[in-house]
Amino acid sequence: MGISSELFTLTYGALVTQLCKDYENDEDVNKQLDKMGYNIGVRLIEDFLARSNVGRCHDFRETADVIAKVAFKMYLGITPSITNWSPAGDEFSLILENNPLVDFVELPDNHSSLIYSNLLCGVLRGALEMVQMAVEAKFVQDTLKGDGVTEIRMRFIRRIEDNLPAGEE
Amino acid sequence: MLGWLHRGKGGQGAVDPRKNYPLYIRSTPMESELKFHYMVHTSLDVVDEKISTMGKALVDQRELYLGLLYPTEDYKVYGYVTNSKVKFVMVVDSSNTALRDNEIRSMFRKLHNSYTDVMCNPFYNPGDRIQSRAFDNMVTSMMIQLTQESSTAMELADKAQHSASPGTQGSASSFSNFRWPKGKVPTWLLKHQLSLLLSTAFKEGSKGAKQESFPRKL
Repeated sequence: MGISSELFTLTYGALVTQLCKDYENDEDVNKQLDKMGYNIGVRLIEDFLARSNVGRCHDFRETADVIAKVAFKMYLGITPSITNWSPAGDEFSLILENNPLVDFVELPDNHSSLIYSNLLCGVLRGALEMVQMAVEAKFVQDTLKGDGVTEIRMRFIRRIEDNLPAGEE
Repeated sequence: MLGWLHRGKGGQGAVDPRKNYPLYIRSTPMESELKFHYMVHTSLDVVDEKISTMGKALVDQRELYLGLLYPTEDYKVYGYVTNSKVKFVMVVDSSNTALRDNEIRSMFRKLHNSYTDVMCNPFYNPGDRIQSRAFDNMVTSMMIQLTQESSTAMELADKAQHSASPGTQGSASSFSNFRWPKGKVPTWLLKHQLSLLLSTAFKEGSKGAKQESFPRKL
């Protein structure tokens, strides 16, 4: 039994609202959340690989499965579904029916361009970079903004060939 | 109809930490707003009184529900207070006889739970007026449910009265001069006034909320 989900949700909420106070405009907050997420991701991947014992993925489809069925389950207790594959197989969507980060959250009107859970995009980006994949992750639907589900679009950019250690952002 | 007002004596914008401030008021548009506000003021006094007299007994029992605060000719007023000094006041039309004590208790519990959810919203600052859509929806559904229950009771009472003595008026009901056609009580019209007030007393020294100091009609 880990920490309570309420404490986690409240902690994340405190983080976001503090950033809102510090940066005063939503775009900057979104960038900061992405940065923070990236810094978590580059570390979290080690824990993930050690605990999950998954092998190297052969293609992006395998990666998608591992992200949705293993990683999300392990860290957030949810299993998003994978949909909307691009014909080339380099883009897919993660559909989250519920998002524990946003329990009890109601976005006020003055923060309409805030991407509240943007930390997740950074985590995905940072974690995958450490396994030699450059990807883009972004929210295209958000229950906080009135959409029925939350949807993260993942796009494979390229394989990272050079073995330079990833810097902090 | 939503309205709110400031109880403090200290003029515009003054925040007296010992006074109660409304966080949320909701009522059905049946009575004059002024009369309702007066009733709500009085109920808060009664709540404070109950807390101070029951004091130790409340703490011993860990009882949050205060029960019927005081009956008037037209209304019944119920109270509930949390350990964090948030007070809930509910005003129900007296003619709503279908309402039982345990139903009131469960309504207060629902309100308390929804209030907790509001507090967990990181964008909500304690002391602000509650503007949560989820909270509004919960209150609306509670008021609708209440109306449906009492409408059934009213219809039964109507039928009984009509069959007994069609000409007789005069009941404790405040709309005794008005009769809906038998069996055609529209449930969308909230006949029975259910008014809710949430207020909190700020402890000395805590940051005052931004409050206005006059009844604002919306």
